[in-house]
Amino acid sequence: MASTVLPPSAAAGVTRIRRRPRRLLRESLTAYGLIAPAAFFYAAFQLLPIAGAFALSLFRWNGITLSEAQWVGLQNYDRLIHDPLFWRSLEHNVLVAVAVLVIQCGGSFVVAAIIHAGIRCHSFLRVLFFAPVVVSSVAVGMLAIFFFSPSIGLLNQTLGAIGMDSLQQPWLGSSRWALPSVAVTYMLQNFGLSMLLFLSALKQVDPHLLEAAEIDGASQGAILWRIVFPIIRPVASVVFLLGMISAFRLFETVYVMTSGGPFHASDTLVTYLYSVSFGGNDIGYGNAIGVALFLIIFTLAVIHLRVTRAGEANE
Amino acid sequence: MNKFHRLTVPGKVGAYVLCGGLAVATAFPILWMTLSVFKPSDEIINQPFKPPTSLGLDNLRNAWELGKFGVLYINSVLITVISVFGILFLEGMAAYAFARLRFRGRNLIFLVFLVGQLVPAQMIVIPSFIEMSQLRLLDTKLSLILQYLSWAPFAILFLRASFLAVPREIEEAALLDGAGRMTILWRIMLPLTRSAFATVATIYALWIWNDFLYPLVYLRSEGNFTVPLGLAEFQGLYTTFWGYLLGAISIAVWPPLLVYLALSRPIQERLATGAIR
Repeated sequence: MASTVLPPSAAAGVTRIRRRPRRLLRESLTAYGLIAPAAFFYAAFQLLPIAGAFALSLFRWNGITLSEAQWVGLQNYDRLIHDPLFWRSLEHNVLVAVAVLVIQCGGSFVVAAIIHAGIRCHSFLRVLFFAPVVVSSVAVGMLAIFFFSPSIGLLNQTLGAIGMDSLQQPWLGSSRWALPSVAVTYMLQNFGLSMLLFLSALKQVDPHLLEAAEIDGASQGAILWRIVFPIIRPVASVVFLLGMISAFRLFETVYVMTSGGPFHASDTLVTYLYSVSFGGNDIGYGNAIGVALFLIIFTLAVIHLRVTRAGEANE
Repeated sequence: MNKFHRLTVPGKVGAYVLCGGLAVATAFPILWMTLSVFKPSDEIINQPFKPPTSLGLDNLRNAWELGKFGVLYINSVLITVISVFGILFLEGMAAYAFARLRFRGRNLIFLVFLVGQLVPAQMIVIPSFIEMSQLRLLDTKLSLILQYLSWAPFAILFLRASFLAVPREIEEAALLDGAGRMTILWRIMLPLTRSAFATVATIYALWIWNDFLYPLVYLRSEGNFTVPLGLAEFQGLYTTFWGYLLGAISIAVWPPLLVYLALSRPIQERLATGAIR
């Protein structure tokens, strides 16, 4: 800063050459200083475990003493490919993801449009539908047991009371209905988030555009599908991708409601990973499942980033 | 602005059925829980639709004491508050550097921070568990706080974007006056981007408060448990004590729900902006 004391005409040429690299150096040091604390935690508890997950997937290890870990190369992945339980868990995730796409995301778009149009009590509905999102999945899952339990469940009692005994099911105790029961609970909890995202997108749509279409005699359904949906498509793809990503991470609801049972009928990748690693003490194999999960989510997340970046470029 | 009346009659009926059905599915479990918790266990099961005849507080009291919910709430508040403020502080500084300073390796380092956004927490939970056990930090509240402080990517991305939106001229005047970067960040940028910080705080508070996987894997002793973990453990211990279970769920659900009902507007707005970015 001393150079500013000199008359500008005399100092200009000299200081420009000398000051620039020094200023850049100082700025760099400041930047590293600002980033270092965040980078420390990030490196220690994200990057290191990420590397660890890949590395451990190449070993056989019971998780007790590190020296007992035994190098097995890609053996865990070979086992993974031939493990019917892995494919079954993955299949469950895919089924839930499809249900989330069609029912949760599709339904929330329609409901968001209805609320946006101004149905009676729309502010109340907006607050109500979003409420389960802020509640812990553990609590929601535990409450759902009161409805789906084969013995004391309200669902079966209601069906019995209205004379529809034939529809009674052991729900959480049945290999056929356990996963759908969990999926319904999960979607009911997350519905509000998709709806909220659609609602905030609908607010951005220019009302004049819709008025013009109305004057031309288009029906509300046609306006929604032909005009509104294309406009909010960037947001829609975010909602769809977030919905799919979280369906592949599904854990808490299953853990609390069925712990993956009966007989793996509702296992997902993460509950399977958890039971292999902490129930079966098979750390290497558990991490191989983790890497497989990562590859799926990584692919979806890259698409998500692409889409959001493209959305920003369009703005 | 009301467009609803322009729908055709079948459209209106469909809309009411859809929204009404969903409203029942969402509100009924909460209402049922809130009323049934005052009834004795056998009535909850045998006469689930009968309203409570008296305000029996036994379920709530027993669940509170047996589940040690006082301790659970103190732990959850402590862990959430420390982690959220830590994240705002750490990620605020880093985001500022990425937004405003020129330095060697900026794009590369930023890319490395982005990688975390693509990695599911479920994948790294086992290696993190092993790391914590090597550090002899398992079964401490500190282990959770350290883990949460590493959840950098979203906060950095979001805060960086909000810093970039502030015109450069505002801080250049302060720079010429000889103000340091920390002063600028604290005195000029923070007040201008307060709503972005509030958004990050809201989203992280929700994530951390409701996180179940890391407490489940890291914690062993009841004294360290968070609310969701304590609730799940309670379920394991009192599986068929239906009244106690309803009491425990109510205790875990209502306080966060009341906070949400009091602040639903700002919470919804923040979560919406946060998720789209």
